[in-house]
Amino acid sequence: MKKQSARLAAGATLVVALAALTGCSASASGGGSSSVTLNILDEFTTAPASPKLNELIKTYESANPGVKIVRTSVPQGQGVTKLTQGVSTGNAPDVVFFDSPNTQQYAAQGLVENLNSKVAGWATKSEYYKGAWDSTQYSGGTYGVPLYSDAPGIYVNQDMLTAAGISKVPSTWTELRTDAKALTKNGVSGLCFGTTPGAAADYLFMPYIWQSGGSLNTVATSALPSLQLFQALKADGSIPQDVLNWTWQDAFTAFQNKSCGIVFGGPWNAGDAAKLPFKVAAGIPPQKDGGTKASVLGGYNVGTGKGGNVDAAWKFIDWFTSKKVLASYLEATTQLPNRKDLADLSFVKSSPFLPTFVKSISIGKPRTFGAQLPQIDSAIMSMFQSVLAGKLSPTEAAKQGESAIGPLLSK
Amino acid sequence: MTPITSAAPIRANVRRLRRHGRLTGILFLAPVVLFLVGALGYPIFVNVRFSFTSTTAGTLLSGGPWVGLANYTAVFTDPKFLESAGNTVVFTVMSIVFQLGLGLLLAAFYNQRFPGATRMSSLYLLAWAAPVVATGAVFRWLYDRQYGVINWLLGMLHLTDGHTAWLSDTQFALGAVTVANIWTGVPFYVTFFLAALKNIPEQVHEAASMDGAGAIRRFVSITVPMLRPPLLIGGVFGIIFTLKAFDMIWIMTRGGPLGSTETLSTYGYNQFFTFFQFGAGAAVMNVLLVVMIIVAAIYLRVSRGEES
Amino acid sequence: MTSTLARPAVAENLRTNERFRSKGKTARKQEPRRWLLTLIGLLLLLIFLFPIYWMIATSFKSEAQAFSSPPRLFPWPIDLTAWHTALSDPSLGRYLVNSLILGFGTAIFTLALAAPAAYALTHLKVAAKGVVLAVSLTSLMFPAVMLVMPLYQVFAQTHLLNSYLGLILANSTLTVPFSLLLMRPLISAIPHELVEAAQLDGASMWGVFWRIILPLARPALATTAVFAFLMSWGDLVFAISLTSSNTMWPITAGLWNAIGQNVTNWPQLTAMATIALLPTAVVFLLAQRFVVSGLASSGLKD
Repeated sequence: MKKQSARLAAGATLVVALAALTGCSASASGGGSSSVTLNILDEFTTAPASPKLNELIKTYESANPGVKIVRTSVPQGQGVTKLTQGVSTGNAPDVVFFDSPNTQQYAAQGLVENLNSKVAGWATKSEYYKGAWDSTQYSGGTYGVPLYSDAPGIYVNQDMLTAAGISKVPSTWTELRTDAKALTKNGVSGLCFGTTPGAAADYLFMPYIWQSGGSLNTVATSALPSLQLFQALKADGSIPQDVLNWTWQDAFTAFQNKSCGIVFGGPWNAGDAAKLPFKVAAGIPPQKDGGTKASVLGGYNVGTGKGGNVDAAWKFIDWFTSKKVLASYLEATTQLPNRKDLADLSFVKSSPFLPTFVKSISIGKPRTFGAQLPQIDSAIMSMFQSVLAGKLSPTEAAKQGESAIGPLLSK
Repeated sequence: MTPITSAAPIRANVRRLRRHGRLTGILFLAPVVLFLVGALGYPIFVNVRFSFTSTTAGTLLSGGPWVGLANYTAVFTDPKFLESAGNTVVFTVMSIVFQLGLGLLLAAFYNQRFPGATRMSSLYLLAWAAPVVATGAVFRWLYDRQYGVINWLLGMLHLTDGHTAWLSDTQFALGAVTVANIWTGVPFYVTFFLAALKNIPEQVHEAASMDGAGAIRRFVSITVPMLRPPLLIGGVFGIIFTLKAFDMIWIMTRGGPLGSTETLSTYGYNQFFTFFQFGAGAAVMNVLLVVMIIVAAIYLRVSRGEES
Repeated sequence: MTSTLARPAVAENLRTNERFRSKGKTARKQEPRRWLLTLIGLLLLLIFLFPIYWMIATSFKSEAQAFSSPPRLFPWPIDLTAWHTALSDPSLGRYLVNSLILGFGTAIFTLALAAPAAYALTHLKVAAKGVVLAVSLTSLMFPAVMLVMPLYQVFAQTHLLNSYLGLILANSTLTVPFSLLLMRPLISAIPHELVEAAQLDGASMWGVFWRIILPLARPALATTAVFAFLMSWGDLVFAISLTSSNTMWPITAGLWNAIGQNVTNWPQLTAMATIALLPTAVVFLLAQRFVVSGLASSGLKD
């Protein structure tokens, strides 16, 4: 009797462990019905984007009773990881909101579906601006449709600028240098931005590389002038050491705290910038004197994942990007449109800053660097960080950058 | 209880018990063994497989093509890997030396007899019990260039100009992260060594002080040598926990600036989750694992040597 | 077994120490010196715990107070803005509940696995004891980062992703081997004669475990549970990798997310960090005795 109970009990421990392992799986996968469940993956974890998406999802669900939407949102930059994990383990989402430059990487790795057949007769297609639409293309396929666009620019503390006797927002490299230097005093830094790992170096620095008239293929020469610019800014004392461990948002917070006179930012800062207790002006990225006009294009696209519900997913995307729905989304999130039929949104016109970013978008180039974007991004960051940290001269950094980036472009 | 009168039944009893014990013993152990195999053995198997294949997101389940040692060659020739290996050594050695050193000194201090000694010594563990994410966040704030307390203090004492960008300067970032890691580890060693010190018979000290040995000399020439085994074991624990430290660095610097705080853990993590180089990531992890197994072997050696 | 002998010897030492101490010639003469030591000891402790104080103090400051130079050592007048913001975050309650579920779940799962195993390793004759120990020690070293990808794969196939059970199992990859090493010396210290006597009385192995070992090992079980709870509470990597929505996040993941958004609103971040710290501090203070004895024993031979 006792022997038996010993064995039983020891066995029970085992069974509990195993039952626990398998039991939960049953409950997790249960609840199947004839209706469609759409899994959405996005990177909008903060207000206003996150609650707005919830609101729109609810609207869609009540209009389409057969559809149930399950939303997964991860912090910005984490979507790639989550998507890769999901796809590689058979848990792919149906609808994916993603950073537009990731398109080629996603397409190459088979993380999103080719939508060529869906967009072939799609009326909305002709409304998109070329740059935004190009960001969805990879090897002749269309991997998603554009949601909104953004491009970087600068915010300037105009009170400080006026106090320094400067009347206009810097628009060239030379002006950027002199103005930043003039603002640097009493614990204030002239120019702030964030270069922490994961801060999208390409978005930060590509405008200046392109303005020198080159591309990533010839980084040793095309990046040199911009590297020299940032080295000079650093040597002037205009750039605080903190930039090496700051995010974009950290830099903007420093600007809000009046620790910085000029900050690199984007349209997403427009709402906060309007609330500041000092006068603020915005400008497009300062342009190289006598160079090519350029900015960089960012933003979000929405595509269908490999979840197996392409038709239902496309229906949702079609609805989400319809004129009225998208307009309400853009207005709530102060993101900028990239289509002709949404060009006249009133919140853009009435904003003191957003028209500037529309201008930046108009000279923006998409980052179509192929499937190795994360490594390329990291190499660009290394190049600029080594100059900012004083580790390498601009020439050395540019050379190192070319040898790092070259092989990545061919892949 | 029935008094035992003859030896034969006892022997039979014992024989029965042995047989019985073996089987039940296995049943008692089985859940743990199954768990270790499933939750730890399988991941190793997967990582070893990854490290010899060219696996991408698309081929994660089916397994990518075999590439032999290519991942290992790629990793070992990557200057960033070598840099992070160097950082790992610095981070680990400095962490352990100071954790053990400060832990021992504080333990020796609180081993003296004074009111509240025991209570105070255990309160150090508050720092150890805090989630690393919270600790990392607070240290970022302490290290803040403009408003951080550390810069204010150093500036006030005229030790620095008070504007050091601890976490944004490639010269200082690794040291700054190490200090935060030391802080979380010291309390463990205070408690650990305090227990070991209580094991040293007081007579030894009494005898030495009668011989006229001062407190410091007694500490160095009597206490420390007697603590050799716990120091070794503590060191091994330290190596294990420091080598795999990830959260602290990830929260404070993410391996930056310019890779100056990149350790094998963060480097491997980036290979997996930033660059999706599963093969390279797995190769890094396997290298780390081999190092750890060597450390574990040393630990078992040491603790066995102690037992005998 | 050496352990059974070692234990009383330790106690004997402590007792003789006490005797020597109480005999100490002129206890009264030493009184001022002892209070001086208390003072120094307190000072050292306060300096050491300053980061925790600073975390709490900053959370009660306004942004203007926090960003003042020189820093204000005391949050006065107390400003509750940061706490209002932190507590009004609708996800916060969820994070805390998740952390608690994972903490208790991991503790229970760990005990259920490790306690019988520790008994088998110390008081029963089992083959391959050394192997089990070596494997647990080795597995203690696996960086969580290394386990994430394979675990993700297994969990995806068994529908354990984004579930409490999955996270509990993942956290247990650290706590189970750790507890095994922690409990072994403690359970081995239970005199084997008691086990033998019970066996001679006809008790089964299970009976011995249930009626002799478990009651006597209560402090060891408590220690293990506390450690498992604290370790689970501190986990970040599994929490952010094996979940697909922040409704499953524990507080550490919530804090990590907040840091990622903006690391410069310090009053708010420190308020959240304080919230993350508070439960561990409470558990630690309540179970201090067990934590201390557990850590102390990890250095002793068994």
